[in-house]
Amino acid sequence: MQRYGVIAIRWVLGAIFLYAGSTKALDVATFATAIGRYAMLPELGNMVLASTLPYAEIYTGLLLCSGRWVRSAALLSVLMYSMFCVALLTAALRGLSIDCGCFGAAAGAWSSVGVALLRSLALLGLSSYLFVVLAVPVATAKD
Amino acid sequence: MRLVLLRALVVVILAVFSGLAVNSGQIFALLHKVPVQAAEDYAPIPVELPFVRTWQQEGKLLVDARAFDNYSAGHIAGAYSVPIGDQQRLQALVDCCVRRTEVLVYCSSISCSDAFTMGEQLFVSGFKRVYLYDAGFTEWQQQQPWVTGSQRQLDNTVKEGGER
Repeated sequence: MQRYGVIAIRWVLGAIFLYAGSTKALDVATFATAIGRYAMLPELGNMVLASTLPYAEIYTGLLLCSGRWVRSAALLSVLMYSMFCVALLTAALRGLSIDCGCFGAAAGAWSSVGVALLRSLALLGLSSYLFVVLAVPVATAKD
Repeated sequence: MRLVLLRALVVVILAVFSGLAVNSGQIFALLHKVPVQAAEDYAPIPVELPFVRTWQQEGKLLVDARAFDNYSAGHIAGAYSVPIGDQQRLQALVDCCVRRTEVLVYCSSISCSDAFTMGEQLFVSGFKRVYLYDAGFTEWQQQQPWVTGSQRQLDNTVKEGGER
Protein backbone atom coordinates (compact mmCIF):
# COMPACT_ATOMS: atom_id res chain seq x y z
CA MET A 1 0.00 0.00 0.00
CA GLN A 2 2.86 2.29 0.92
CA ARG A 3 4.37 1.73 -2.50
CA TYR A 4 1.31 3.12 -4.26
CA GLY A 5 1.20 5.99 -1.82
CA VAL A 6 4.80 6.89 -2.67
CA ILE A 7 4.07 6.70 -6.40
CA ALA A 8 1.00 8.91 -5.98
CA ILE A 9 2.97 11.50 -3.97
CA ARG A 10 5.75 11.45 -6.55
CA TRP A 11 3.28 12.09 -9.35
CA VAL A 12 1.40 14.80 -7.49
CA LEU A 13 4.59 16.68 -6.56
CA GLY A 14 6.13 16.08 -9.99
CA ALA A 15 3.07 17.36 -11.84
CA ILE A 16 2.87 20.46 -9.66
CA PHE A 17 6.57 21.18 -10.19
CA LEU A 18 6.31 20.67 -13.96
CA TYR A 19 3.27 22.94 -14.22
CA ALA A 20 4.66 25.66 -11.93
CA GLY A 21 8.13 25.53 -13.50
CA SER A 22 6.98 25.69 -17.10
CA THR A 23 4.52 28.58 -16.56
CA LYS A 24 7.27 30.57 -14.83
CA ALA A 25 9.95 29.67 -17.39
CA LEU A 26 7.70 30.95 -20.18
CA ASP A 27 7.35 34.40 -18.59
CA VAL A 28 10.47 35.11 -16.55
CA ALA A 29 9.88 38.88 -16.45
CA THR A 30 6.48 38.47 -14.77
CA PHE A 31 7.92 35.98 -12.30
CA ALA A 32 10.78 38.38 -11.49
CA THR A 33 8.18 41.08 -10.79
CA ALA A 34 6.30 38.67 -8.53
CA ILE A 35 9.51 37.89 -6.58
CA GLY A 36 10.19 41.63 -6.38
CA ARG A 37 6.90 42.14 -4.51
CA TYR A 38 8.35 40.18 -1.59
CA ALA A 39 10.99 42.93 -1.28
CA MET A 40 13.67 40.48 -0.18
CA LEU A 41 16.25 40.71 -2.97
CA PRO A 42 17.75 43.42 -5.19
CA GLU A 43 16.41 43.69 -8.76
CA LEU A 44 19.24 41.64 -10.24
CA GLY A 45 18.73 38.95 -7.57
CA ASN A 46 15.05 38.75 -8.48
CA MET A 47 15.91 38.26 -12.14
CA VAL A 48 18.58 35.60 -11.48
CA LEU A 49 16.24 33.69 -9.15
CA ALA A 50 13.36 34.03 -11.62
CA SER A 51 15.62 32.68 -14.38
CA THR A 52 16.95 29.64 -12.51
CA LEU A 53 14.19 28.53 -10.11
CA PRO A 54 11.75 27.43 -12.86
CA TYR A 55 14.38 25.05 -14.28
CA ALA A 56 15.09 23.61 -10.84
CA GLU A 57 11.34 22.96 -10.56
CA ILE A 58 11.12 21.42 -14.03
CA TYR A 59 14.09 19.08 -13.47
CA THR A 60 12.81 18.09 -10.04
CA GLY A 61 9.38 17.43 -11.53
CA LEU A 62 10.86 15.31 -14.31
CA LEU A 63 12.90 13.27 -11.83
CA LEU A 64 9.92 12.71 -9.55
CA CYS A 65 7.67 11.62 -12.42
CA SER A 66 10.30 9.43 -14.08
CA GLY A 67 11.31 7.70 -10.85
CA ARG A 68 15.03 8.42 -11.27
CA TRP A 69 17.13 10.00 -8.51
CA VAL A 70 13.87 10.23 -6.56
CA ARG A 71 15.43 10.81 -3.14
CA SER A 72 17.56 13.65 -4.49
CA ALA A 73 14.47 15.12 -6.13
CA ALA A 74 12.58 14.75 -2.84
CA LEU A 75 15.41 16.57 -1.05
CA LEU A 76 15.27 19.40 -3.58
CA SER A 77 11.51 19.49 -3.16
CA VAL A 78 11.91 19.83 0.62
CA LEU A 79 14.46 22.62 0.16
CA MET A 80 12.32 24.53 -2.36
CA TYR A 81 9.11 24.27 -0.34
CA SER A 82 11.01 25.29 2.82
CA MET A 83 12.25 28.36 0.93
CA PHE A 84 8.72 29.13 -0.34
CA CYS A 85 7.29 28.75 3.18
CA VAL A 86 9.89 31.13 4.68
CA ALA A 87 9.26 33.73 1.95
CA LEU A 88 5.47 33.46 2.32
CA LEU A 89 5.68 33.55 6.12
CA THR A 90 7.78 36.72 6.10
CA ALA A 91 5.35 38.26 3.59
CA ALA A 92 2.42 37.35 5.85
CA LEU A 93 4.20 38.75 8.94
CA ARG A 94 4.97 42.00 7.12
CA GLY A 95 1.31 42.25 6.13
CA LEU A 96 2.06 42.18 2.40
CA SER A 97 -1.09 41.73 0.36
CA ILE A 98 0.46 40.27 -2.77
CA ASP A 99 -0.11 37.50 -5.25
CA CYS A 100 2.30 34.69 -4.34
CA GLY A 101 3.57 34.25 -7.91
CA CYS A 102 3.67 30.49 -7.33
CA PHE A 103 2.47 29.65 -10.82
CA GLY A 104 3.81 32.58 -12.77
CA ALA A 105 1.36 34.58 -14.86
CA ALA A 106 -1.20 31.77 -14.62
CA ALA A 107 -1.84 32.46 -10.93
CA GLY A 108 -5.22 33.82 -9.94
CA ALA A 109 -6.76 35.28 -6.82
CA TRP A 110 -6.54 31.88 -5.16
CA SER A 111 -2.75 32.32 -4.92
CA SER A 112 -2.91 34.87 -2.12
CA VAL A 113 -0.19 34.63 0.55
CA GLY A 114 -2.34 32.81 3.11
CA VAL A 115 -3.61 30.17 0.69
CA ALA A 116 -0.14 29.74 -0.83
CA LEU A 117 1.42 29.30 2.62
CA LEU A 118 -1.05 26.56 3.55
CA ARG A 119 -0.51 24.83 0.21
CA SER A 120 3.28 25.07 0.52
CA LEU A 121 3.17 23.66 4.06
CA ALA A 122 1.08 20.73 2.84
CA LEU A 123 3.46 20.06 -0.06
CA LEU A 124 6.45 20.45 2.25
CA GLY A 125 4.90 17.77 4.43
CA LEU A 126 4.45 15.44 1.44
CA SER A 127 8.03 16.10 0.24
CA SER A 128 9.44 15.43 3.70
CA TYR A 129 7.44 12.21 3.97
CA LEU A 130 8.72 11.12 0.55
CA PHE A 131 12.33 11.91 1.51
CA VAL A 132 12.08 9.99 4.79
CA VAL A 133 10.16 7.01 3.48
CA LEU A 134 12.58 6.57 0.57
CA ALA A 135 15.43 6.07 3.06
CA VAL A 136 13.93 2.59 3.51
CA PRO A 137 13.88 0.62 0.23
CA VAL A 138 10.24 0.47 -0.82
CA ALA A 139 10.57 -3.10 -2.05
CA THR A 140 11.28 -4.30 1.49
CA ALA A 141 8.62 -2.21 3.17
CA LYS A 142 5.53 -4.18 4.22
CA ASP A 143 2.28 -2.93 2.72
CA MET B 1 23.20 10.09 1.65
CA ARG B 2 26.34 11.43 0.01
CA LEU B 3 25.13 10.26 -3.39
CA VAL B 4 21.73 11.85 -2.78
CA LEU B 5 23.37 15.21 -2.00
CA LEU B 6 25.68 14.92 -4.99
CA ARG B 7 22.80 14.23 -7.36
CA ALA B 8 20.78 17.11 -5.90
CA LEU B 9 23.78 19.37 -6.44
CA VAL B 10 24.02 18.23 -10.07
CA VAL B 11 20.37 19.13 -10.63
CA VAL B 12 20.86 22.56 -9.03
CA ILE B 13 23.94 23.29 -11.16
CA LEU B 14 22.10 22.14 -14.29
CA ALA B 15 19.12 24.37 -13.41
CA VAL B 16 21.36 27.39 -12.80
CA PHE B 17 23.18 26.91 -16.11
CA SER B 18 19.94 26.35 -18.04
CA GLY B 19 18.23 29.37 -16.51
CA LEU B 20 21.18 31.70 -17.01
CA ALA B 21 21.79 30.48 -20.57
CA VAL B 22 18.17 30.84 -21.67
CA ASN B 23 17.66 34.22 -19.98
CA SER B 24 21.14 35.70 -20.41
CA GLY B 25 19.73 38.44 -22.68
CA GLN B 26 17.31 39.71 -20.04
CA ILE B 27 19.92 39.54 -17.26
CA PHE B 28 22.45 41.37 -19.45
CA ALA B 29 19.87 44.06 -20.27
CA LEU B 30 19.13 44.49 -16.57
CA LEU B 31 22.83 44.88 -15.79
CA HIS B 32 23.13 47.66 -18.35
CA LYS B 33 19.80 49.34 -17.62
CA VAL B 34 19.95 53.02 -16.78
CA PRO B 35 17.93 53.62 -13.61
CA VAL B 36 14.73 55.55 -14.24
CA GLN B 37 14.55 58.88 -12.42
CA ALA B 38 11.25 60.37 -11.29
CA ALA B 39 10.18 63.62 -12.96
CA GLU B 40 9.40 65.03 -9.48
CA ASP B 41 13.13 64.97 -8.71
CA TYR B 42 13.95 67.08 -11.75
CA ALA B 43 15.82 70.21 -10.62
CA PRO B 44 17.73 71.79 -13.50
CA ILE B 45 20.66 74.05 -12.70
CA PRO B 46 20.41 77.49 -14.35
CA VAL B 47 23.68 78.70 -15.86
CA GLU B 48 24.98 81.91 -17.42
CA LEU B 49 26.97 82.69 -20.53
CA PRO B 50 30.52 82.24 -19.07
CA PHE B 51 29.61 78.76 -17.85
CA VAL B 52 28.19 77.86 -21.27
CA ARG B 53 31.29 79.19 -22.99
CA THR B 54 33.57 77.02 -20.83
CA TRP B 55 31.24 74.05 -21.26
CA GLN B 56 31.30 74.44 -25.03
CA GLN B 57 35.08 74.87 -25.16
CA GLU B 58 35.53 71.67 -23.16
CA GLY B 59 33.46 69.81 -25.75
CA LYS B 60 30.82 68.68 -23.26
CA LEU B 61 27.31 67.62 -24.23
CA LEU B 62 25.15 70.49 -25.53
CA VAL B 63 21.56 70.10 -26.68
CA ASP B 64 19.59 72.56 -28.78
CA ALA B 65 15.87 72.10 -28.03
CA ARG B 66 14.61 74.45 -30.74
CA ALA B 67 12.96 73.40 -34.00
CA PHE B 68 15.39 71.97 -36.53
CA ASP B 69 14.90 74.93 -38.91
CA ASN B 70 16.08 77.34 -36.21
CA TYR B 71 18.99 75.04 -35.44
CA SER B 72 19.95 74.97 -39.12
CA ALA B 73 19.89 78.76 -39.23
CA GLY B 74 22.40 78.97 -36.40
CA HIS B 75 23.33 77.29 -33.15
CA ILE B 76 26.06 76.99 -30.54
CA ALA B 77 28.99 75.14 -32.06
CA GLY B 78 29.01 71.48 -31.10
CA ALA B 79 25.35 71.37 -30.03
CA TYR B 80 23.12 68.46 -30.97
CA SER B 81 19.69 69.20 -32.35
CA VAL B 82 16.92 67.48 -30.37
CA PRO B 83 13.68 69.39 -31.01
CA ILE B 84 10.81 68.96 -28.56
CA GLY B 85 8.57 66.07 -29.65
CA ASP B 86 11.21 64.36 -31.77
CA GLN B 87 11.36 61.06 -29.93
CA GLN B 88 13.72 59.51 -32.46
CA ARG B 89 16.41 62.12 -31.88
CA LEU B 90 15.81 62.05 -28.12
CA GLN B 91 16.30 58.29 -28.06
CA ALA B 92 19.39 58.60 -30.26
CA LEU B 93 20.88 61.11 -27.84
CA VAL B 94 20.09 58.91 -24.84
CA ASP B 95 21.57 55.86 -26.57
CA CYS B 96 24.77 57.62 -27.52
CA CYS B 97 25.42 59.88 -24.60
CA VAL B 98 23.54 58.97 -21.40
CA ARG B 99 26.72 57.62 -19.83
CA ARG B 100 28.16 61.14 -19.93
CA THR B 101 25.55 61.88 -17.19
CA GLU B 102 25.66 65.69 -17.60
CA VAL B 103 23.97 67.76 -20.29
CA LEU B 104 23.44 71.44 -20.98
CA VAL B 105 20.20 72.39 -22.76
CA TYR B 106 19.15 75.64 -24.34
CA CYS B 107 16.41 77.01 -26.60
CA SER B 108 15.76 80.50 -28.01
CA SER B 109 15.59 82.77 -24.99
CA ILE B 110 14.30 83.14 -21.45
CA SER B 111 10.75 83.27 -22.81
CA CYS B 112 10.84 79.76 -24.24
CA SER B 113 10.19 76.67 -22.12
CA ASP B 114 11.45 74.04 -24.55
CA ALA B 115 14.85 73.76 -22.85
CA PHE B 116 13.19 73.13 -19.49
CA THR B 117 10.89 70.49 -20.98
CA MET B 118 13.70 68.84 -22.93
CA GLY B 119 15.85 68.86 -19.78
CA GLU B 120 13.09 67.04 -17.92
CA GLN B 121 12.85 64.41 -20.64
CA LEU B 122 16.61 63.91 -20.57
CA PHE B 123 16.56 63.66 -16.76
CA VAL B 124 13.82 61.04 -16.79
CA SER B 125 15.78 59.17 -19.49
CA GLY B 126 18.79 58.88 -17.21
CA PHE B 127 20.92 62.05 -17.32
CA LYS B 128 21.91 62.79 -13.74
CA ARG B 129 22.54 66.52 -13.99
CA VAL B 130 20.84 68.95 -16.35
CA TYR B 131 22.08 72.52 -16.83
CA LEU B 132 19.71 75.10 -18.33
CA TYR B 133 20.98 78.04 -20.32
CA ASP B 134 17.89 80.19 -19.81
CA ALA B 135 19.04 83.19 -21.88
CA GLY B 136 19.38 80.79 -24.78
CA PHE B 137 20.66 81.21 -28.28
CA THR B 138 19.53 84.87 -28.54
CA GLU B 139 22.02 85.96 -25.89
CA TRP B 140 24.71 83.63 -27.24
CA GLN B 141 24.35 85.13 -30.71
CA GLN B 142 24.48 88.69 -29.34
CA GLN B 143 27.65 87.98 -27.39
CA GLN B 144 29.50 86.04 -30.06
CA PRO B 145 27.66 86.17 -33.37
CA TRP B 146 30.54 84.61 -35.27
CA VAL B 147 30.19 81.24 -33.55
CA THR B 148 27.44 79.03 -34.91
CA GLY B 149 29.33 75.86 -35.78
CA SER B 150 28.54 72.99 -38.08
CA GLN B 151 25.58 70.69 -37.52
CA ARG B 152 25.90 67.56 -35.43
CA GLN B 153 23.85 64.51 -36.26
CA LEU B 154 22.60 61.83 -33.92
CA ASP B 155 21.33 59.50 -36.58
CA ASN B 156 21.13 59.10 -40.32
CA THR B 157 17.76 60.80 -40.71
CA VAL B 158 19.34 64.23 -41.13
CA LYS B 159 20.75 64.75 -44.59
CA GLU B 160 22.06 68.28 -44.46
CA GLY B 161 25.81 67.71 -44.35
CA GLY B 162 26.43 67.69 -40.61
CA GLU B 163 29.33 66.10 -38.82
CA ARG B 164 29.00 63.07 -36.61
